[in-house]
Amino acid sequence: MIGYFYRYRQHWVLIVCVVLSLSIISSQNSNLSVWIQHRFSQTFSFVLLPYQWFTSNQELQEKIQQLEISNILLQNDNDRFQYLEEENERLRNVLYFQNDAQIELIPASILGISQSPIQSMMRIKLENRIGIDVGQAVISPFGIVGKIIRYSDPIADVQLINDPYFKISVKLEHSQIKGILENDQFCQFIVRNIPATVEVVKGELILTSGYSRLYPADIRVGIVTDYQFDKAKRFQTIYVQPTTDLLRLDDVFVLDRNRINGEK
Amino acid sequence: MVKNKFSILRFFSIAIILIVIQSGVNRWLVVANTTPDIFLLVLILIAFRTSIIHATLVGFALGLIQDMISGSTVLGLSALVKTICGYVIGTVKMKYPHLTASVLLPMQFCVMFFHFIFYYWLIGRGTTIVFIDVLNQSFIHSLYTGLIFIMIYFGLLKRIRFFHES
Repeated sequence: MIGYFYRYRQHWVLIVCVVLSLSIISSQNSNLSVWIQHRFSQTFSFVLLPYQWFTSNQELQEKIQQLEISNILLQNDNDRFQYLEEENERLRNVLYFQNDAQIELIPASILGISQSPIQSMMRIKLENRIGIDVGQAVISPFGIVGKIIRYSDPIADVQLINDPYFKISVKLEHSQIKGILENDQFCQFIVRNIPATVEVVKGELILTSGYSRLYPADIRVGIVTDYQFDKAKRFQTIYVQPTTDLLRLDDVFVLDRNRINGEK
Repeated sequence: MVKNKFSILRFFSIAIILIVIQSGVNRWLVVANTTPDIFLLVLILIAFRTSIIHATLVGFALGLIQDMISGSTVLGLSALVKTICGYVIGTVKMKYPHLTASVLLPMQFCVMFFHFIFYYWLIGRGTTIVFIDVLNQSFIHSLYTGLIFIMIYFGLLKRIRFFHES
């Protein structure tokens, strides 16, 4: 009997491994499975340290220069916005509107990105763990990154905007026409069924519409790169380039939904 | 016979390096929304130099680590396909130990291609993704991973006579 097992040991090893894999696959949605996955990522997050050391001094200098320029521009914008906010508040008071748009951001560091035209995911580690939940939006200074689809303190899995199943309600910057931004399996972001009468400008910003509970309005999503009319010339399809370069990201932020809604 | 040149310590060193590459460096290697499957590359490299049992076990372990680190939605899927890959390569290597690089290089491409077909077909089940997309993506992915393999082979492994030369 032992001789029989020993003779076919290669096959037995294969069978055991296949059975183990299948049993792991069958328990994929269990809390334990997600917990083990996230714990593993957290434990081995230290191995990313050497990679971070590779960032050269020159790169840091360039970053500092860029940040200084951004700082000046933002300061300028800030002054203008402060004036506009005061004016806005005054007008709102006149019209009895309620000001409830408070956005709270929770910083997170990226542990890994898994990309393919069939699935695009990012794993992040959250610095401030209060108020995290599945479905919360993840953004970068450049725009929308994705949304949290799994969370096990302090690690979260994010479905990226270039995942084929990711859809988001957006609007055009100038015309304010709403549509759904989706990924067409071949890495192209499109917004379908925009009426042909709407004037679309190449380079125009695509922003979140604010219709979704997950994403507040007016967060940058992408830029119009092209548009195409259908055969009947009744609708047009807009091609979009995302403003966030997912491969160049270092840090992302989770939007605290509760604080957006003013619940905290 | 295939010499057993593999140890647990060596495996852990490779695993740590792979985790670094997968998590940190791989994002810089994206072409057409595809990154090379470094874990598969390493599995092929290991499987050609070890026994069937080691190749199968390494395939399972590397697949599981890949699933854990990459945030795959189907935990265990890479482990399954890489286990089978390890077994197939190990078996071929054992039965035909004197195959030359000219045979083994196309063969590793075929193994990659079937690996990705199997993987994408399983992950795309129950979705709108059709089989032609799976074939398309599998071809692109295996071509890219294969090119990286060839670069590694001609850049480094040929010098140490990784495959038997005729």
